[in-house]
Amino acid sequence: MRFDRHTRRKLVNYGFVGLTMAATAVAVIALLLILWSLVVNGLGGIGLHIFTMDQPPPEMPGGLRNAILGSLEMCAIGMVMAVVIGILAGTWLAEYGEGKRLAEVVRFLNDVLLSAPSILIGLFVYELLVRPLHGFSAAAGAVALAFVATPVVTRTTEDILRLQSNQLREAGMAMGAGKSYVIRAIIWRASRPGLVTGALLGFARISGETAPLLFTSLGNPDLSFALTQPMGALPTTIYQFALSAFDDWRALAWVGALLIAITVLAANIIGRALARGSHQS
Amino acid sequence: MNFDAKQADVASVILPPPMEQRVLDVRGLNFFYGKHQALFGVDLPVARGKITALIGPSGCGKSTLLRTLNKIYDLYPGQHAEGQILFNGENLLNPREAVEDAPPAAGPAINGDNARLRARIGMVFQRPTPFPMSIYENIAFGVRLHRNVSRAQMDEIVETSLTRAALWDEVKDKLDKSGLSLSGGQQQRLCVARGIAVEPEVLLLDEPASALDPLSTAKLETALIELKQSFTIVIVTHNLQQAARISDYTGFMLMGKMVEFRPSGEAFVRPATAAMRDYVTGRYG
Repeated sequence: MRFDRHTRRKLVNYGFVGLTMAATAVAVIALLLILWSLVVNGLGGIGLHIFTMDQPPPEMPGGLRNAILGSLEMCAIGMVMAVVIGILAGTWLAEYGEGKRLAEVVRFLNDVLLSAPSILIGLFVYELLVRPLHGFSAAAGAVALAFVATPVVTRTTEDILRLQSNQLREAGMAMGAGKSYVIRAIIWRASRPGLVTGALLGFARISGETAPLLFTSLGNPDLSFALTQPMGALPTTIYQFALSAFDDWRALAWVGALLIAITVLAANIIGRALARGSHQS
Repeated sequence: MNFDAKQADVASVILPPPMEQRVLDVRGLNFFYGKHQALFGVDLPVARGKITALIGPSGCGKSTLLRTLNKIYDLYPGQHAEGQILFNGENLLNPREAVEDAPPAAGPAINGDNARLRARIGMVFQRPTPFPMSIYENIAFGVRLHRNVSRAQMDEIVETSLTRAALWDEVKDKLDKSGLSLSGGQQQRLCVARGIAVEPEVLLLDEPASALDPLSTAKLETALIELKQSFTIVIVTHNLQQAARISDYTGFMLMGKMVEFRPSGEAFVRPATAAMRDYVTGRYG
């Protein structure tokens, strides 16, 4: 059967739209299935005890308190490092790096770091901090997480600052302010929602990272806040429990996975909402 | 001198204000964007307490000329200016050069210090550029850069500046609201208020009304005419009626050259050069 040119073009068009819709559907359905299985398997196990009791020995009652608090502590410390370094580096790239060869190199390396397998970062920090100091520690875990989050923050900071109009920079300078003061007092302030978004996206990225922690903070069945000691974290506990032969450990792993998924989802939604809000103002 | 339209097909006509009235005097200015030359030996005498308008087709160099006056082009490596921009007894382009017939110093030496220069030559841009802070802080921002003032003094400066920019009545009850919450016309008058709050001698305006509706434009023009009592104004505009309405002197530029510079009344009624006549009557381009 032969079609005229017009009909053929229409058919090709339908075919292409169909393909893109099918691909989208596959991605969305996969995501929904993951969330669904997390909810089905994890929701039943959630209770107050999850937040008040530490992880138990096999076949004993317990929760995930040590892992939740450990994750929060290492993520918080890692984010402080990542935000400070990332915002300063991103600012340099956007405001001072224009046309500089070094800026191109830094940007390229940052992109490489952005997509580096996180297990490599774990190994790197192991060589950097764990081996020389003869021990796994929460500090090493926080540093490894910082290595993962910094390129995210750097990248979003640069992108967000570039969105600010040059006229705003000129307006600040035309008042007689120096360049660095204009950046700090005007450009950063105008970019604040975007900068917070970058930090939240970085946080979302590291809150579920397991590999960087396996060689650094290791994991700890007991509650510990000491930076010099191994520390529990949700991803490492999930990793350990999910692979175990005990049903109640596996149930706890599902709960932990659900908690991480909720956190990541919330951070992403808040981050995006803030970014959108900043475009409207 | 009186120019008759028929006899006036000459290359350029410059009728500057007398030397002693000038506050800013540009002589033989060449300007380069990298290797591309945008201004060719431009003269611009700016009279104190007057409004000087710069007109001409897009790309003629009028905004470029304006941007040299406070050296804002300095921000971009690769852009540079040669020649003389005389202000405060100095050549801004070469602070160490000895200049004899420059407009006299009316303040401390600038000596190549951009912060000091920009405290004395303010600028308002094409699009409103309120800073991301409250209306009050927008005004206070520039003042704090150059002076230490008490809270009471600052309150007074904020009120006077906003009043002079014809904005006070519209914002006096919401000074703590973000400057971004104002309408476009109000934002532009906020930028004018911010500019005059530091008491500059000269205020540069780069097509300040091009993003505004006619009513906001009228309010802005009223404010500018009031302001020339205290400030010297140089305004770049695409709007010939605007230039004719508010300016005392008009400079017509074409392809990086100053073609005609005369008192506005004469210039618009009887352009002396063929180029300006064509432009004003809409035959250019």
